[in-house]
Amino acid sequence: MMSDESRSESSNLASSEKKLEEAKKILASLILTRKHFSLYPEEHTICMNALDNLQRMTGMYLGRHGNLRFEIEKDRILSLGEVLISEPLQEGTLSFTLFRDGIRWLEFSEGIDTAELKTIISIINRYSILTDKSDSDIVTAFWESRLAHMKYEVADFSWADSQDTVVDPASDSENSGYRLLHNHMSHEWVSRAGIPIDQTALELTSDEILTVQSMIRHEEESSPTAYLDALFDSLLQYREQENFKLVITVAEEEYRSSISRKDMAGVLNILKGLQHVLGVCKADGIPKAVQDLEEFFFSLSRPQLLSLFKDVWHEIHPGTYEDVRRIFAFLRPEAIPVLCDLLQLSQSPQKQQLVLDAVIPLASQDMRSLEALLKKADEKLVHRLVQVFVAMKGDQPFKVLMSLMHHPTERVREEALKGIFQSDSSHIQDIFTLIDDKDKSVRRLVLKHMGQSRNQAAEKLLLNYLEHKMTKNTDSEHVIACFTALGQCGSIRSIPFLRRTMFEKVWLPTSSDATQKKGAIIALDKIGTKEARQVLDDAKRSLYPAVRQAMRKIYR
Amino acid sequence: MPEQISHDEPSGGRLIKSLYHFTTMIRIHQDNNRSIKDCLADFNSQVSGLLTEGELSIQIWRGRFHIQGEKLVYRREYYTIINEMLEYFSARGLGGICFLSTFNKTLPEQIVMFMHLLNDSAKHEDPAGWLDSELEKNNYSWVELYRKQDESLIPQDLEQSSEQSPDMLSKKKARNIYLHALDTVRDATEKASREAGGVRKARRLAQTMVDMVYEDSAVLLQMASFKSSGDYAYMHCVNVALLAVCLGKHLGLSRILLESLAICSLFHDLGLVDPPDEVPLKHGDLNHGGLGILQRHILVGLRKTLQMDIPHDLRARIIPGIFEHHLNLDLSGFPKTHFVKRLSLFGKIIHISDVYETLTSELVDEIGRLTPDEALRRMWGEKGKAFDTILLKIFLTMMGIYPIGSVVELDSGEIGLVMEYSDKTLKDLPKVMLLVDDGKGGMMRGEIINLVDQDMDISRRTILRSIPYSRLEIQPAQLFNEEAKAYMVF
Repeated sequence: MMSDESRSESSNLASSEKKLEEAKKILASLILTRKHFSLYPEEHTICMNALDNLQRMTGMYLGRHGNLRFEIEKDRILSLGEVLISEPLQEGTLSFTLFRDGIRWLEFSEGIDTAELKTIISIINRYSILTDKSDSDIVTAFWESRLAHMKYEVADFSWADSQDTVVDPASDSENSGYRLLHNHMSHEWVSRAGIPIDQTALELTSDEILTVQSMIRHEEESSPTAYLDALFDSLLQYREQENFKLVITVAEEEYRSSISRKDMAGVLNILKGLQHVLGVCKADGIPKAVQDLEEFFFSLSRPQLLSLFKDVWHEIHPGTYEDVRRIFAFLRPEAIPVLCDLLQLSQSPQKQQLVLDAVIPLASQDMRSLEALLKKADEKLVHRLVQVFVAMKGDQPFKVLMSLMHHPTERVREEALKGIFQSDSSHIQDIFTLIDDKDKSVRRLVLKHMGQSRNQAAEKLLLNYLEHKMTKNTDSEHVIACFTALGQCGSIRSIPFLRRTMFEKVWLPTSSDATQKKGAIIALDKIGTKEARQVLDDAKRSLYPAVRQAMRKIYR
Repeated sequence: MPEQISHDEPSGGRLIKSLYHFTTMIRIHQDNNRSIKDCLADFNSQVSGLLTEGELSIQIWRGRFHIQGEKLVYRREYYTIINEMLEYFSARGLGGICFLSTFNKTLPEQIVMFMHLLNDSAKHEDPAGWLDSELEKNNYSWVELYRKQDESLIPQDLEQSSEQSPDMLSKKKARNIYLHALDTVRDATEKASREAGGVRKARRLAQTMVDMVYEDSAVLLQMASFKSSGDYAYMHCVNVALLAVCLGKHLGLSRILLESLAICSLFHDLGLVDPPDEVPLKHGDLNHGGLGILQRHILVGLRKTLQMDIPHDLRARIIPGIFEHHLNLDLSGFPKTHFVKRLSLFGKIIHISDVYETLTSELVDEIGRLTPDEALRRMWGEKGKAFDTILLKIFLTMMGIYPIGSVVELDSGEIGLVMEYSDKTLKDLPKVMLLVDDGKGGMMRGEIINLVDQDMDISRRTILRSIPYSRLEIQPAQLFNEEAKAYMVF
């Protein structure tokens, strides 16, 4: 017959076995839920159901048996000293993931809810992949999450390493710097007067409480690059080349990450800071530092750094355009090819102008890269680059525009011609050579330009052209357009030619002659002076039927 | 272009990989084979590259290799090799190997033979013991072995024990944190001087500190009262960190900010521990530019911090505090600034903590040494100029008129040690541990009385004045942790 003691013992055994069984099931559920979360989106029904099941099982266990602790070894997880699960020693397993970062045990306590379990699973999944980055680890992630119903213990290497707790004292040399500096500091302070502390004066006013909250908020929201101010100040104080190289490397890292964050103000602050340091180093004659800093500024224009803007260009906010403009002011002509890429990416006129405003002065310094770019650019880019040449002054850009008049694409030729007209009207003779361009639109544009206003040079060119260059085969529409332009730019100097054209007797008149007479009438009408009107009156009364016919046609 | 700071070429990983190849190749080929020679050359190069400060230690702890005490971080492509080497060591009962400085003078044949011995040791019942004896027999004094440790034998004193009161456990935890902190600062300083190292250890410590400050900040303040001239370099940093974290908590900073503040404080004087050779060791020489050299410790500390492997966000938070901790609120102090126009919150907090800790330090001479309350009164006189007034108010409220750890004389003639303030509003009536003569010329713990909570029928005791520690030759922190005294040797 079983004694009370053995009955109690076997009852306890059964209870422990039951606990273990339940713990095993909870662990299995945890592993399964983790797997679901890695396969499906978090909001998926499968994930939600698994999580609910896990929480229910865990809640029941905690209600019946109290806290649930899992002890972690590299390839297995135990509870109450018994192995719950053995796993292969490999990346991704639950045991290895937890063990790797030093977790000795995890313990769930009553009250753990689905939100916490979800957080735990997310963290485990996030850190299950080996990384060589130092950014964070699973322990820090757990700690930052402040899980109210999960405790854990971490073993650190140093604990095992130092079995005894005797602390080796610092050496004399380690203390010497402190001794000197702190003695100096304390001697200064001893000489200052202390004042009694009134306890009531220590109470914070409501304004001060608000100030504290503001301080904390400011600290939490501070710019990720604000610390660079300290580094730049360190350069001004401590001018060893080693420090410059180091700080410049850090500044470049921040420059890159500021661009990827689209923090243009941050980018600009970095550049302005280093620019100031460069100025000081130049003034103080520190050639090595100047060299390092200038090399950094040169590198801004190279594709390696400048192309970073391409990744974020679409998301640059209009509120930051002014900062971007000032950033681009640091660039050199080497930046032109990448800037042209940005130009192609720019949809809005403001963005396009932003880039053009950067390219134009750079191209004015050195046009070669722009010219090289033109040779292989597509129509869309050429179209935009024309604006750059238009904005630039000087013979070189004009020559480029003129060369674009022979671009195979009509649209480009038209844009170039428009640009030529906008840029510089002193090259009228060069423009006039295009009057016989095979492209009708080009011819039309040339004549439109010639006829914009009274212009003696234009008049002279047109007169010469009409008188000597026209042939009987010349397109009649073109002839009329030439005469129209003459009328718009001409003066009484054109009257003699026009009169001759009107009244010259031709033995065998052709349609070409009629066209010319028609053109002359239009020209005279547009000139509009007293002399011109006189010629027109004479034409009305002319004995030549062709002349009268032409008049009738015009004035019908 | 300046050289990149690169932490993505783990030399430790290459060392382990080299060892793996060497032990593998040596099983297959003859010793004079070209492959063996290549392995030897590579292994030599890897060890020589890492052999600094006299030795190169490769140790295993919790399934990870640690090279020179730093956990090995490795790429995924090394994963299989690392695991195989972990198994290799485990099968031989080895917890690691240490190559000593004489490795560089070792004959190539000896290194090859050592690899054979490593491989062969697995055949023996006690591989590590057999290896040890073979190394001794062959007089291989350039290498030492670590035995595999039983990782379950960790000090259990952090675990709850039903025999210990919560107060006792709290004190023991604080003591452990303090010792761990000293070790962490020393470790970080040594690594920083080698331009290496990360902050994972410091991070763990900081997280533990933050947890502790939420549980019982008074205990941390008690530990911060520990003063010693012998170990000042590290204790100063730890004390400043404890004060700063407590102040930060009273201010209402989040846990994540407190973690960063703790790390910043631990590292704030990184540049001062090994001053440059030209620093004069006599106080008088400071007038001849020596002080400027010492002031450079801030900039040296900045450089060392930048060279450490620190996550970006953390780096961005701690740099300002390290730079500014000797700057006053009005930007007087040092170094001079052009870009920094106002102190950061961390800078202000650490400045307060650092000055207080310095003024109450045992390292300074008699002339400069102040009692804690005297120090606070001096600091209060500089509110708005040297210190942010609001932060200083909070600091003074936290510390009390007679800060925790102050030795005070009561109007009854008794001497006591301020332990804590149970009533947060009455900052001149703390809980005091009376100190009594131990009959051997020293002082020992006596009754603990709460000056707030005194029976009105018995004459109330009040504090007359504070007394410098040195006059009584006591260590407040040691008296606070009397129960844990057996574990602590200072």
